[in-house]
Amino acid sequence: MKSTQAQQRSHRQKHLLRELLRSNWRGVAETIAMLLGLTLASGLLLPFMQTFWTFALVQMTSLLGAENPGVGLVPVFQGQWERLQVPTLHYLFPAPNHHDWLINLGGATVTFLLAGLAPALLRVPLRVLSVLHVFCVVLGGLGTQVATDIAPHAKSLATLTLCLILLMPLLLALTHSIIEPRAPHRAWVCALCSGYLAFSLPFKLIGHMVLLDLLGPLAMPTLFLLFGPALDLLAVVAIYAWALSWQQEAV
Amino acid sequence: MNTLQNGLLLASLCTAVGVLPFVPTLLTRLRGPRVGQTRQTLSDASVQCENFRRLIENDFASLINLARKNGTIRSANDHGQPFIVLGFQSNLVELLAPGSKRLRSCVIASGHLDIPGELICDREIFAEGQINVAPHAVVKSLLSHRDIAIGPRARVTRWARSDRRLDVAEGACIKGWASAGIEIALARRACFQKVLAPQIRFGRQQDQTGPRHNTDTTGRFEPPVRSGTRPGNGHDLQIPAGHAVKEDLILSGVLVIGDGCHIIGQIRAEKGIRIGADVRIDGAIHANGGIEIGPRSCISGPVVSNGKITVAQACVFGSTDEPCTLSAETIMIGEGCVAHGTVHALCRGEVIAERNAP
Repeated sequence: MKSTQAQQRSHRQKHLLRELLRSNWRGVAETIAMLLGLTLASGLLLPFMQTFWTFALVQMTSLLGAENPGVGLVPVFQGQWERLQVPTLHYLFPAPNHHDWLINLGGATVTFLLAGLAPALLRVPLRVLSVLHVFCVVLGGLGTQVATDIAPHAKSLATLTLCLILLMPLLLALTHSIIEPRAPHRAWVCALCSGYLAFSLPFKLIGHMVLLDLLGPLAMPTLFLLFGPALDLLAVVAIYAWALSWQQEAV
Repeated sequence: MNTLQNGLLLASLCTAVGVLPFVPTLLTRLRGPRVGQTRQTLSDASVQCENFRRLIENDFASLINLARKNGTIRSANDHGQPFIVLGFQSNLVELLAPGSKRLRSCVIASGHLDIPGELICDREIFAEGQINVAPHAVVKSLLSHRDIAIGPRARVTRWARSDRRLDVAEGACIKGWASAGIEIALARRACFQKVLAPQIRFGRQQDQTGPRHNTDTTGRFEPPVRSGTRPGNGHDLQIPAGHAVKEDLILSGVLVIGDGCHIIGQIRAEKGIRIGADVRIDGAIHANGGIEIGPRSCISGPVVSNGKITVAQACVFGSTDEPCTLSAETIMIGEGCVAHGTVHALCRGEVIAERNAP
C-alpha cells in the first residue's frame, strides 16, 4: 500500500516537473544560457581580476610600510589549471606570546561581560562570538607554538572567494531566476555580487593582515570563521535582498 | 603622510568596503517598518477609511457615473497618482499587461470587482458592488458598499471595510484593521489584527455538543478575602468545578476556574487565568499574563491580557446588544467561536484549526 502511494507520489512529481518544464521551457532555456554566459564571462575576466588584486595588494602593503610582504599569485591546484590563480600575502607572525594570549582571552571575557550593556539584538551574537573566540584561541593556540605565515590563510580566503565568484551564476540561476522574470535584472544582480566579491578581496586580505598584526596569530581561526567566507555569503545575501526590493513593472 | 595615517586610511577603507553591501539593509533598518502596522497606524486606519470614502463621494461620483455609461477611465490626479475607474461591465484583468504583478493605480469600480490572484495592489480599492480578492493576491486597502470576499492565502496590508459582510478564506491574512457593517467570517488559519463587527465568526460553526453554559451550579464558592500584604483574594486561587461566585476576584498570582462555573463579577489576576469548559462569566477579565479559555464558555465582558489569549472552540464573547472587546498581544482563537464587538490582537491573531486547538 505504502509503495503504491510512493509510486503515485513519484509519478505526480515527475508529471509536475514535466508540466513545469513544458510551460516554462523558454524561461528555463534562457536561465541555462545566462548561466553558461555569465560563468564564461567570469572565467574570461579572471586575468583582469588577478591584475587588479595584485596591483591593489602591492599598493596597500606599500602604504602600510610592511617589511617585504610578499604579494603574488599562486595556483589554486598545484600542477593543474595553472591559470586559476589567487592572490596571497607572505607575512610572518612571531609565535604567540603572553601578550597575545592576554589580549585575546581578556578581550573575549570583557566582550562577554559587556554584552549585557549592548542593545538586545546584539547581546546573544556578542556572547556567542566571545565563547567561540575563546574556544578557537585555546584550541588553535595550543598547536601554534612557532612563527606563523599568513600565506595559507590568505590563500584559503582567496580560493573560497574565487569559488563563490565562479559559482555565483549557478547559485543565482537556482534561486533568483525563480522569482525574477527580467533577464537584465538577473544579470545585473549576478554582476553586482561577483563584482563586489572581486573588488573586496584585496581589502579583506589586508584587513586580515592588519588585524592579525594587532591581535596576534591566535585570532586567525576566529577571523577565518567569522570574517572569511561567512562575511562573503552575508554580503551576497545583503545584495540579493536589496535586489529583491527593486520595483517591478507596474500598471 | 606617515605610516599611522596610512594605516588608519587603509582601516577606514577596508571598513567602508566591508560595510558597502549592507548599506541598503542598514538604511531600511534605520527607516523603520514601512509595511508593518504600528499601533498608531491601526488607530489611524478607520480615519483613513473614512477619508477615502469621502474622497470617493466628493471627487469620484461624477467619474463613476461617466464610467457606467462610457466604460473604463484611466487618468491621474493633480499629484500625478494614477487611478482607474472601471465601468459596469469592465474587468480589471483586461487592463493588466500580461505578466504584470503589480498595480500602482487606485481602482474604483462602479460594479463588482474581481482582483486577480498573485497581484500586488499598492493603492486603495473601492467598489460599489462586491469585491472578490483571488488567492495569493496582496492588496493595501479595500472599501465596498457590499460584501468583500478575501480568497485563500490572500493578504490585506492596511485596512478593509465592507458595509455588509466580510469573508476571509482559509489561510488569508488581514494585517491591519477590518470592519464590517453586519458580519465578519474568518475561516480557519486566517490571520487578523483588529476586526470590528456586530458579529465576528471564527472558523466553521459547530453543532452544539454540550451545554453552552451550565446554570446548574452545585454550590456557592466564597473566595478567601486577604487584604493588607496581599491584594484581594491572595496569590493563587482555584475555583472548583460547578460553583457559582458572586464577587470580584483580584489575585496577584494565577486564577484557575473549574468547568461549569458561573462567575458574576470582575476578574483580575496578575500572572494568568485558566478558565475551564462551559464557564459563564458576567464581567470583565484582565490579566497581565496569559488567559486560557475552555470550550463552550460564554463571557459577556471585555477580555484584556498583556500576553496571549488562547480560546478553545465554540466560545461566545458579548452579545449583539452588549458588544465587548478582546485585546491581547497574541490571540489564538478556536473554530466555532463568535465575538460581538472588537477583537484586537496587537501582534498576531489567528483562527486555529480544530485539531490544533487547545
